[in-house]
Amino acid sequence: MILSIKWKLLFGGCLLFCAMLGIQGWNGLQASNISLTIAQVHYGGGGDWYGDATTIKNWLQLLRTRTGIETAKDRVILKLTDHTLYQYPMLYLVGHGNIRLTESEVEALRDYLTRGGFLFANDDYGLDESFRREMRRVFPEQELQPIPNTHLIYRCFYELKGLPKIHVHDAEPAQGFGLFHDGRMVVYYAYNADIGDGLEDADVHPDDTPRVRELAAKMAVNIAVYALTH
Amino acid sequence: MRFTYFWPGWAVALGIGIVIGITVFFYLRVARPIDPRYRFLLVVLRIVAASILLGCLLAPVVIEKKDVTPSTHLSILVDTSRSMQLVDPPTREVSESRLSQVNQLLFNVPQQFLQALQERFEVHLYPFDTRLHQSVLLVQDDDSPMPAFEPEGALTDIGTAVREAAAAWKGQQSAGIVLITDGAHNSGHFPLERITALGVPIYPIGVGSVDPPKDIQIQRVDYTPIAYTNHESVIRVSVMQTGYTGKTTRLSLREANSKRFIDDATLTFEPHQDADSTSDSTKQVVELKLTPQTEGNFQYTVVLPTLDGELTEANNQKTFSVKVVKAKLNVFYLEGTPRWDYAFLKRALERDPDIEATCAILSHNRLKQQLAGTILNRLDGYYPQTMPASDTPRFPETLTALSEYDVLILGDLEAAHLTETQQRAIVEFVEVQGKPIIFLPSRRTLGADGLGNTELAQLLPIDIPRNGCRVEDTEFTVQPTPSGAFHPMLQLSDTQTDRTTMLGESSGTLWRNMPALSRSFSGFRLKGGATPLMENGKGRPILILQRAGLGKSLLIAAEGLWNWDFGVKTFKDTRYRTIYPRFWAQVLRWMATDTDDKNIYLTTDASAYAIGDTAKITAYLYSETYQPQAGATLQIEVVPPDGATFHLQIRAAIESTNEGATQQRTITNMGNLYTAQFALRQKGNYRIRATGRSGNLNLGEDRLDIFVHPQLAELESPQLNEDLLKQLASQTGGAYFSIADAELMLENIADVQNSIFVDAERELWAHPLVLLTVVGLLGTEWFLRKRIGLT
Repeated sequence: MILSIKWKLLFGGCLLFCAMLGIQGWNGLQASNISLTIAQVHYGGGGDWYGDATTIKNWLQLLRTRTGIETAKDRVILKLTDHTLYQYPMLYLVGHGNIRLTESEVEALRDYLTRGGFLFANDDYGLDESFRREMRRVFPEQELQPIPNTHLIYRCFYELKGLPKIHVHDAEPAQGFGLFHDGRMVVYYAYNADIGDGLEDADVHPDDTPRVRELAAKMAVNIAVYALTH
Repeated sequence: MRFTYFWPGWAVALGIGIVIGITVFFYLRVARPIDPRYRFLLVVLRIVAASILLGCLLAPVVIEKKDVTPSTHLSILVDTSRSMQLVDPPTREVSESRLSQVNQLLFNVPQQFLQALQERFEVHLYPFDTRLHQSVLLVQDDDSPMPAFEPEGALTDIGTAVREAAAAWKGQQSAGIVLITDGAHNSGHFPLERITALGVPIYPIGVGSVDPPKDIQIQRVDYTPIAYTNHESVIRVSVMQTGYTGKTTRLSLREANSKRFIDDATLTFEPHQDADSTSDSTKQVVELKLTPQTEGNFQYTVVLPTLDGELTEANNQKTFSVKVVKAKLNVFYLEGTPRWDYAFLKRALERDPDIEATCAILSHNRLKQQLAGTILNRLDGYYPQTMPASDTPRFPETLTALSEYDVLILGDLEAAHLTETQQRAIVEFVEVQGKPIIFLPSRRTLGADGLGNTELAQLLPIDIPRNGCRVEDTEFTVQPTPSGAFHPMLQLSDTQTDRTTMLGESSGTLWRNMPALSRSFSGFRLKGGATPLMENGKGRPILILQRAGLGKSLLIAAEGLWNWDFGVKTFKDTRYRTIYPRFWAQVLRWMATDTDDKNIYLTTDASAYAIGDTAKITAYLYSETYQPQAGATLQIEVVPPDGATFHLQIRAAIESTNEGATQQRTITNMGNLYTAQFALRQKGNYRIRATGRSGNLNLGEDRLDIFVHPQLAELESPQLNEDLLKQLASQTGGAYFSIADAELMLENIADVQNSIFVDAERELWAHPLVLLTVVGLLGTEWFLRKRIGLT
């Protein structure tokens, strides 16, 4: 039987499609729990814990494309007392307003951090006072320490001069703070920088210039790489 | 009296009437003149005799009251454990051992203690230690030698003894149990509730002094069973003292065989920290230092000198075994991408004091174009690990540089990560130098562009298919394979008590309970000689071991092992929190152990034993290619302290018991696993050596030593535990007495019930007196008849 060129092309295309599906099935990039997922903390106290809705999605995409790290596609939202907490070694906390943790949440966060977890807290402007208060409850024995600009977190992938100021709420300089346990940084707190805003979809904060957004991207990549390598 | 009637009454009356009529009739017709008085007497005698016989046909019986009260049992339990041999500080005029006092109480005739009890009860006298022993025969003969108990038991289990005594007379009347003891129960938790539930009153008689005797003892030695050459190990010795507050002494550490001095420390016994405490006992922890110079198995002894007036010197020393191996392991861990597996393993390696870890992440070559503007560009693709970034470690370029490491771990790497020179160096590192390599791959490593087409492929225990391995993103838990269940890398139990009846079951359970992993690889083919040690629920290999040249290769066909560290942090059972670092420590140590010509591995179920324990030895055999070696001949030689060597030999899957020996021994074969156990009867060092053959192949040998301590539990709290005995008495409805007041107990043991009487019938007609009476009456009649001349 002699097939026409059209049928041959159609048949060949089907074979190629099937072959690609097969390859995908054997070795394709699939979402799994192995993929890096960043969990956003749902806290109490009235603050907008749900902010930065597109930040983690874009952050994960940056990591995927710039470092080759296998990531999930979007964030997971959870409370500190959720039983799934220990499936996510990295947490993202953001907000403008008040944050209030219950006693069980304070205990859960302390356990989480001292047992291997990492928290990146992003001051979206107005979070500072309540966040520091709650961190004093979590680690009564230490205060948030300023992270010097020479710290590895600013050098572990991109070389930055320090914490970049992304969203200008006021003229105060951006500052990075940390909490440590057994020599490991377990909390990184970006104050007055708002890295999260810089990672949002471009139309969310149209005033942020591409240069500023790139700085936010670099800092975000550094934070994740630091957490994954220490 | 009543009648039970063989014949009815009317028939008997009729018979008696007939007898009277016939008798009177015949005597009246006698022709010979007879004195009427004789005639009357003869008639009466005949009629009475006949009436008695006929009366028997009425079957008369007498009703009597009979005492049927059953015997009331009383069990006396005498503690014959070794603490009963102690002589307490003199109280009153008594200065003899505890058990001597008991012997005096029971067997000294003037005291009449036992006799008084025997008059009221059926007394059973039992010695006990960890269980009830056979009862003592209580002889009544005054000429018999007086029995005496001997203190022989190594431990005391009051609960078991009481339960066994209660069971012996269950269902019968029991007045209770008299328990003569010092109350030094030392066999686990005291089962007060179970004893109370028996419903038997307990009458404890306390022996000994409630004040603890003066003594110092080495209560516990904490040490790392593996020490490293030229590295200091700290030995922590817990010393307990009673009655020596303020006294100074010296604790020393010596090698057990050569008595070579190693370290010592001076300690002064401090008073109790609680000033209000009346206790004169304190515990202190003393640290000694051990820095072994050579590899091997060694025994060390910590010793305290004997002090004046000390209870015993038997607990003044302890010996322990340490395996000395090469100093810290030098590990190089190379990753291809930042990931949680890297972060958690790096932390575990850095926390392990016995590991010197160098960790590096080398980015993919294909990303290098994107690295412009990153610090990685300046560091040849390496992620900085520290500041300054220039100190970031890099993978060795040459075999010489690589040889400085003992173990190599390769993570998420692709073919393009390493140069051909580096790949060849790795192959020689493993195959020629005999070093181990561990693959902790990602989907990229086992993918189409992974290591399958590199020189490193020959080191993998699997063949990667051309399109790469299948990636399965479904959660699964792991379980050891039959070969892995007993492999040292996967053992998670330390002590005898951790293990259950089935060897290895405990470790297997722990592994199955570990958090699920979420990615596994499949679709590969195991190379010949590859041994799966761990598998998922579908039986797919997860941990695969293979010999590669002179070295060893281990592949973990899964991702997400960090869950075993982070995911267990919510487990209530804190044992799980140490499994991840322990797993890696065992894997690295075992992989780095030189195993040339050694295909037998011996392990024990505990690090220390006491006399009376059973030692369980596990030997597992591998072929040259690390296949489990079944059907081999294993010989285990045991040299006990007295030098009387004995052997255990096995060929196939059988179970045997050597009955001719003084020590009970069993040995069982389970595939490539051989377990042997034997009772430890002697104090000192047992040397164990295993050798094996499979056909003409010599499987080599392995050796280990175990040290057996005397059983000292009886001396740890030897004072009279009066509180426990009083509580036991009050909870069971009994009463407590000291041995000095034991006679008072006689009045306190209540009789269980009043006497019981029942009606009992006694047959009159069958009584011999009836026959004698009849014979007497008829004989008298015959005599009178002769006398008056009647025929």
